[in-house]
Amino acid sequence: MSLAAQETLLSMETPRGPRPWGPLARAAWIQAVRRSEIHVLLILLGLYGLAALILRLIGIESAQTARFIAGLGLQLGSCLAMLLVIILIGRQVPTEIDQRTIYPMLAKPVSRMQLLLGKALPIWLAGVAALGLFVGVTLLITPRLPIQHPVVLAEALVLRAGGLAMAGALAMWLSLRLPMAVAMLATAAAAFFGGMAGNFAAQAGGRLGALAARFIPDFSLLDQFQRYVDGGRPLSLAEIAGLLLYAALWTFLFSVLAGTTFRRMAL
Amino acid sequence: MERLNQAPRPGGGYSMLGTLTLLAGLGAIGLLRPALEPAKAWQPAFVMTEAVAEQVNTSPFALILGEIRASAADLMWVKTERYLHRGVAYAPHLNADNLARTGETVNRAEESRSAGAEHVHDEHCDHEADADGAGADAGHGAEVALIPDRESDYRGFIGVLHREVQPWEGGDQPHEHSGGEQLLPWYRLLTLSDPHHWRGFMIGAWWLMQQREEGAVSLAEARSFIEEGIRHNPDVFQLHLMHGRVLTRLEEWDGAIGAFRRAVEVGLKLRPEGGVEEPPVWTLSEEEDFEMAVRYIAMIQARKLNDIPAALATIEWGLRLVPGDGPLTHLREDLTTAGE
Repeated sequence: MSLAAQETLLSMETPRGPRPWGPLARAAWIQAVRRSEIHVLLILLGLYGLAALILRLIGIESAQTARFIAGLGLQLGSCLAMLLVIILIGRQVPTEIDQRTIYPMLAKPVSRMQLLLGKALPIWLAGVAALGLFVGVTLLITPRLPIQHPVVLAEALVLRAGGLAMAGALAMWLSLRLPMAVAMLATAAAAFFGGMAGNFAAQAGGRLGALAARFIPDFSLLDQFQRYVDGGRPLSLAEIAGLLLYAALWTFLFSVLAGTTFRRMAL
Repeated sequence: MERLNQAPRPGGGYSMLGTLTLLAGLGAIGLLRPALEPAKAWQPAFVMTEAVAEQVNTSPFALILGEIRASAADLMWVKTERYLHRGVAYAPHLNADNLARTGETVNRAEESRSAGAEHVHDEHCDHEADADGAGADAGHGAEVALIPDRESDYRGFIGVLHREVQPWEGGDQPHEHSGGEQLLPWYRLLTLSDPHHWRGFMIGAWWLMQQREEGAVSLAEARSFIEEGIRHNPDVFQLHLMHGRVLTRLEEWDGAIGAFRRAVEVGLKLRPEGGVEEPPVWTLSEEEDFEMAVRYIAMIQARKLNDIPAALATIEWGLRLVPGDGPLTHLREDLTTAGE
């Protein structure tokens, strides 16, 4: 843990309110900057900018090309933001444990659950911000087609933020139970292939498979960027609420599992 | 350091509460999940019908991966073609434009040489003739190799070296064919990679049929392979034709007639009036295959089922589709003469 992060923690000697994970979040953010983790985001953004520059030079001549580029940019941004969240959250606690910097943190008046939240929250926010940046760059380089509704894009952003929360919570839980790299890979597999696995289970497993598929986290439900690109209709409020509830339930479950695992973990 | 030991006692109330919370959460997810399914499906604004929308994956990742799959299949196809020519790369075999659009590898040199002659086929189909006739090693027509000959090669020693280390045949030599049985895994792979590579199914089924020593097993595999091809490409009449040929070898005459009839029906949807060439939709190759399907029906009815009235009716029908067709005319004369 960096000096600045430790200083931030030391400043919490006297509990100042019911939410001490605020300073923890700040510490995690400083740590991400000091460890150059945030530079990953800048590099990815740079690649996006390069692609944008090339496309500007080449030009987008047809609506079909514009649709393709927009779809590619949005899906790539969505995937990169997801990877960013998984990688950064997946390494938070295991690294602290390996480096034994977890002990001064646990010595502070914060519960273990608060510590996890303080770790995960800023990274989730950074993931959402990265997603916003990627989407923004994509929209800057591709002309909006008349069939594409801004409302659908806003819905897609909100839902993907829910998906990032789900993935972050899953990464946090798995990182406490599995080796760090395995946890990241397992979370990425769930995030990118969970929907496919659910479909497969539902189609190949008969009624039992269909039942089991309900309990496989389906991140594809929360990725609606292609709907925007294809000019699909906006989701209804009930549909949005249902999807957000779905994301919230999975995030809650994974968080409870992570919290329980961490509370019981012998350090 | 009190907080370091804050873990609750195992089996305590917290655990029970946690378990109940998890079960409640999972139950809620299980109830909620089916209601969210419609969010996965949407009607793109640019696709007119639901049937089309079901078949189209508009995701750019899916498009890119699909292109990679199709390209891999094309590469494997080229590899099989080169193998069949004993490794010699012939320059005119690939029509990149047609290959990209239809997978067709028309032999342009032959096409120009024998416009209107009986042998304008894609390269793999030439091997059918070889296997039917003089055997797998028979050659046909001189071709121009990708590596130029000494007279037209400006590279001097490098050119000599190139011809020595690479499989090569001079332009004055007829190109030779090797057997294709060893290529069966490639046909399997390329059709797995691109299930719409119908030529892979057609030629793969052909070579499966040629495995005479395997007998019924390979014929059953050929049948299964071509039927898989038809499932993926029901509108390609050549696959129905090959299906009929496989069933003919299996001596399932009624099934074979049905397959040839389907070939004609499907072919008629594409065939221009009178069967005149309209490349790339309809070439002499397609017309030959179409005529073959018509002839097979009449031949089976006459020679295998001995149903002369049906054969004559088929011949009349066939001659309306292919006026003046030689084999059908000869068969009609034979049957009429025998009847008298």
